[in-house]
Amino acid sequence: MKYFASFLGRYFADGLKTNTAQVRFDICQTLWEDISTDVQILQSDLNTKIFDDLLSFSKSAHFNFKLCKEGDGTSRPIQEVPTAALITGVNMPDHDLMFSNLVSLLQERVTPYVALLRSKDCGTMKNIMAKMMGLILGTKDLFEEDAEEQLNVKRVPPTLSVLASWYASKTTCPSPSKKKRMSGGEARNSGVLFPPIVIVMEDLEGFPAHVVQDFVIACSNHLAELPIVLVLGIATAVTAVHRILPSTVSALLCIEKFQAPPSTEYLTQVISKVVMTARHHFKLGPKVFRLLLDIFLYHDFSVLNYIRGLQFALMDHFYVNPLSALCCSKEKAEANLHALSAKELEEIRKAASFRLFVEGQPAKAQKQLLLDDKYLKSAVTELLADLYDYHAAYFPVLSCLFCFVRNLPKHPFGKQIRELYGTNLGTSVFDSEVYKDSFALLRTLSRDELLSILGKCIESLSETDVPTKLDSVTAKLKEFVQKFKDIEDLPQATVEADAESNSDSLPKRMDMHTLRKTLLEKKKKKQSAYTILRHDVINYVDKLCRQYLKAPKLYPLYEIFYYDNLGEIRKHINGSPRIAVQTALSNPYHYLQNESLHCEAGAISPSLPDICIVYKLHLECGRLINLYDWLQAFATVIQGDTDDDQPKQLNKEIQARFIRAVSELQFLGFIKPTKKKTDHVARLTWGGC
Amino acid sequence: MSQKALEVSTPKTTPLKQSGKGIRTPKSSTKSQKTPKSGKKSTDCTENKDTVISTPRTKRQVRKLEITTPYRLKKRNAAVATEEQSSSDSDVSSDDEINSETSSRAEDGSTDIPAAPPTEGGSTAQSSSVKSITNGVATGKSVSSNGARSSKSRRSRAEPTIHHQAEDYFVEHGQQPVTSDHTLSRLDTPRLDQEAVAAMLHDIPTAYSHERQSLYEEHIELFHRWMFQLHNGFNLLLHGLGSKRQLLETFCKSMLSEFTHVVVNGYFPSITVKNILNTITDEVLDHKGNFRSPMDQLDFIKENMETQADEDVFLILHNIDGPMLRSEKAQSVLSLLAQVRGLYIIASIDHINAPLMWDQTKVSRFNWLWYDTTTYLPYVEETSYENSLLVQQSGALALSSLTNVMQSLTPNAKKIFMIVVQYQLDSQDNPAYIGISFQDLYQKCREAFLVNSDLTLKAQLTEFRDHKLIKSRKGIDGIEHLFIPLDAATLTDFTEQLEES
Repeated sequence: MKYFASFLGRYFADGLKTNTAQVRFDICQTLWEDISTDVQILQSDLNTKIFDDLLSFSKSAHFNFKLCKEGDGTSRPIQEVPTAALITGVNMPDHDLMFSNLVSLLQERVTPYVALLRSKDCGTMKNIMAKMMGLILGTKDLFEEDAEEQLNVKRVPPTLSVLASWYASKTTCPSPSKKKRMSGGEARNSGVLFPPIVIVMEDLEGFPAHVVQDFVIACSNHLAELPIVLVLGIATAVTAVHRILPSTVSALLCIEKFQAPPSTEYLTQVISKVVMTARHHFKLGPKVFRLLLDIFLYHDFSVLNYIRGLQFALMDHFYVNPLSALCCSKEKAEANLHALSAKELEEIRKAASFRLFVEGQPAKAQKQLLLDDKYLKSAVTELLADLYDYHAAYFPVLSCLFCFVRNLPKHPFGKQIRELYGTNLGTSVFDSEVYKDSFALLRTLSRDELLSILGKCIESLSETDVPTKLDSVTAKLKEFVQKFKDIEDLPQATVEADAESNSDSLPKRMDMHTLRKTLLEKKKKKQSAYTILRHDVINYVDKLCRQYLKAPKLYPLYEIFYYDNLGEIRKHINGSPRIAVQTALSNPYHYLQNESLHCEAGAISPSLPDICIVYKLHLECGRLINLYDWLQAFATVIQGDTDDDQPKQLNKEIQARFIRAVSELQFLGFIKPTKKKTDHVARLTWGGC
Repeated sequence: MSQKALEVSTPKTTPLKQSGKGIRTPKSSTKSQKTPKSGKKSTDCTENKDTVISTPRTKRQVRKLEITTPYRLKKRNAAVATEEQSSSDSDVSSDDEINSETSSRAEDGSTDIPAAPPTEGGSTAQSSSVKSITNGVATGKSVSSNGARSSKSRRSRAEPTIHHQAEDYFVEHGQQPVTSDHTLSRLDTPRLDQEAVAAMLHDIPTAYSHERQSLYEEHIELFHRWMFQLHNGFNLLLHGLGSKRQLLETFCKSMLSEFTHVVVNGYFPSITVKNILNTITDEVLDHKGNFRSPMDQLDFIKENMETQADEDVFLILHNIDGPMLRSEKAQSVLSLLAQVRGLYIIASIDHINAPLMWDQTKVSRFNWLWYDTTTYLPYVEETSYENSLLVQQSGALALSSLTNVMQSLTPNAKKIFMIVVQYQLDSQDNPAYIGISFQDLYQKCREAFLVNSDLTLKAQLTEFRDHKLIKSRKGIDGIEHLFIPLDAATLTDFTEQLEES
């Protein structure tokens, strides 16, 4: 591993042939390390609650367990095996990690005897027992240091009675040495005399039904001697248990359900902590952001895959984008900027957003930007500073805005903050119609709603690492809240005052025109202090959004931080091999840029590669293809139409070419040999290109 | 999904299909059915119109008329409409839904046959009826954000192609296939043998070699990037038309010369997962001894690679979709292997349905990065093991079928067969060897107490012959000689495999 790693920087550098490569590579590595640490922390926090419940369940399940002698067992009624059904959700790829966490927690806090079984190594009853025994007897045992017993684990007949006697020998004769060791600061909390034996089945649905049935029955029979707890990992629903186990067997289980948090929740956290943060400088562009989300929601629900997509985007960004040398912390970026050579500065000038920026400058500045490297560097420094400020303020303000719009009827900006973020990545949200409409709605909020929203805003502004620039915002919001509290007793007063003024100011006589005028004024005045204040608040929020929530691409040099290469990421993360093959066959020009490969639709030109001709001919056939006719057609295409009626004397060479093309098509899976008719093949694909 | 479907629709699709088959006919008939329906609806609705529909609607109804305009344009109008109204009016969204639905229906017929324009009343009637159903439920769902909407529209645009494919299949399978009765015997040389074909192809210059070369060089430029990505924990999967053997070999030469790497030819008909694992344990990790199961072996590799060995291993898998590696079990072993840290897989696939081998879990274990490395190079090596239809059958017999038949034989029959195998292996250096004579075999079998008369042996041999396990030919002296139509290497593999099991 180390060896390869030492080469790695070189690959990066060799592949790129620029001197920023090393810088970019270093930034990339550190950034990814940061992100993956964050993700790991999230992962371990996520399941804390459910794991705590599970641990206490397995701890208390055999609270009153006593080893009983042979005779006692018969007097007991049939025992129910305490079982935890852990509903894990359908995102199978993430489960490995989750279960290994669970097992290590169990071993740490509850019992040394934990067996994690996966369906892949439990095909038969014998396998399952052997695997379980191996795991339980093989656990590193602090009580016993006899190497002999460890050795012959595999030779012990794998039955539960063996396990029972082993367990009895472990627990009944507490040697003094054991007590000593336990008091000697043992990490695991095995204060219980009889630690339970926890058997975790990671993917219950994958186990053969009869094996699980036998296993459960065996467990329940030995419950008197062994404090067994089962943990069943279920990806679908609890009904899976009943589908696999008949009622006679499931009656032996005492099932308690534990619902793991859905992976969407995990994803929300990952996005808000890793993607939507100013802490990590790398950002996903709108299209890639949406693509990764779509893959998650419509394909696999796997956060693991989402993170891999993110990793790929990160790697590709640093590998492909020469500007990425500046995608790091402010100080570092400035240092890197100064180290840039003229050639790399040229890259900055080429950036689309920068060109737009230059066009907006006065003529003199334009010239300097384009010709004077020093001037350019100072300008870029300023632009970078703007971007850092922008990002720092962006996310707190976004969460404020989300506090306001999240509860609007019909959720115009989605139910999750990520949807709002996704929208705003593409175009500034405040330019949209939806935004206007939502603010119109916000202007009708009731006092209680508004107050609670403001409270949430202040909370969110205070909890994240908010830049000092936004302190004034917090202060202002607090001021608003205070004002609302102040006017709490005011409204009645104003109403009364209004009433008074009403009665007072209406003169006895006036003409129609003035009357209407005064009435209209009155109506306006009637706005209570609350309405006015609410108006102020909403206007303030609106102003805030317009100030801080511009879409990123409006900023010059946003390319430094944003990766939006949709095609690249889709091609590599979510490949489509069949389409590639069919395009290559039906439209070779796509790959081989030679003008003679252009052909009009439907026509088959002899200049195409052999396999393409054969493929196109096969598209014209039905279910079965006659090899002889196919060959004739191929020869016709190659040789052109000769007028003589006699069957053409086939060139052996053509035949050989045909043979190769056909066997390649067979290799690719487009056709297969069939016995239905002599010298025919069956066609296997329909439609396509 | 939607994205893939989008890519399918290259401009060529439709014309080709149209000219080929008369598929369009059934569809146009459905179209004509639809017309009266919408007409009826409109009458229904004119009755209702005055009573139910209130004035503010008229503005929207004007837009409905655009149903005859080209699809894209309509789409855009609809989108504009959403932006305008979605938040102000609660039933607009359901209305819009209908709008896009009708338009997509118009689309999946064909664009050249204009859809019968539903009248104003028609569409409003539809929308109002739907509204009454959805209104209660839809509030939460209807505005499932711009994201959902746009993905939906993408799907609906891709729909025609999908429709096409399904229909093609049923049209073809609904009728007897009509093909001529010509057979290859009409040719002068019905079947060429493998060598002749190879020799002839060797002389033919490859077309577009310049373009192929530039395509190839494009791929070579990716090598550094591949190494970078491999190191970051991804595995590479190459796909695309054309043999990728050469590319991978170049990759090995230029990039992996300093590292341990294992090259596996997945297309080889006798490769097994066990071979791959054994190569890793025996030759890379220098382990002597056997394992009880592949899983044990995997655990061993995992433990060794992750804790002790400090060298990285690169596994180059030509055709991970080879016939012997296709099984679920083989793939799950490989996918677990892919998870081992310090072991990197670079694999290629060619079969168009290859991705079906992997379920969600396996794909995630493999952690592929897909690379389209179309080369247009002929699959020379890969197809040489295939029983091609046009090539003279040399009687080659795949190891897989041999093992399968062996499993179903009686112990005695197995032993008889092993005698033939052994005899053939012993005399492999003798170029004049033509097979074991029947008498010799009988003698040997008697000595081993396997048969008691030549009749039983003959019965046994018939069974072998039926399964194409052995062939016989006459020697110069007219005596029948029996041989197994397999080369020595395959036979050795076979005996090893048998000994292991």
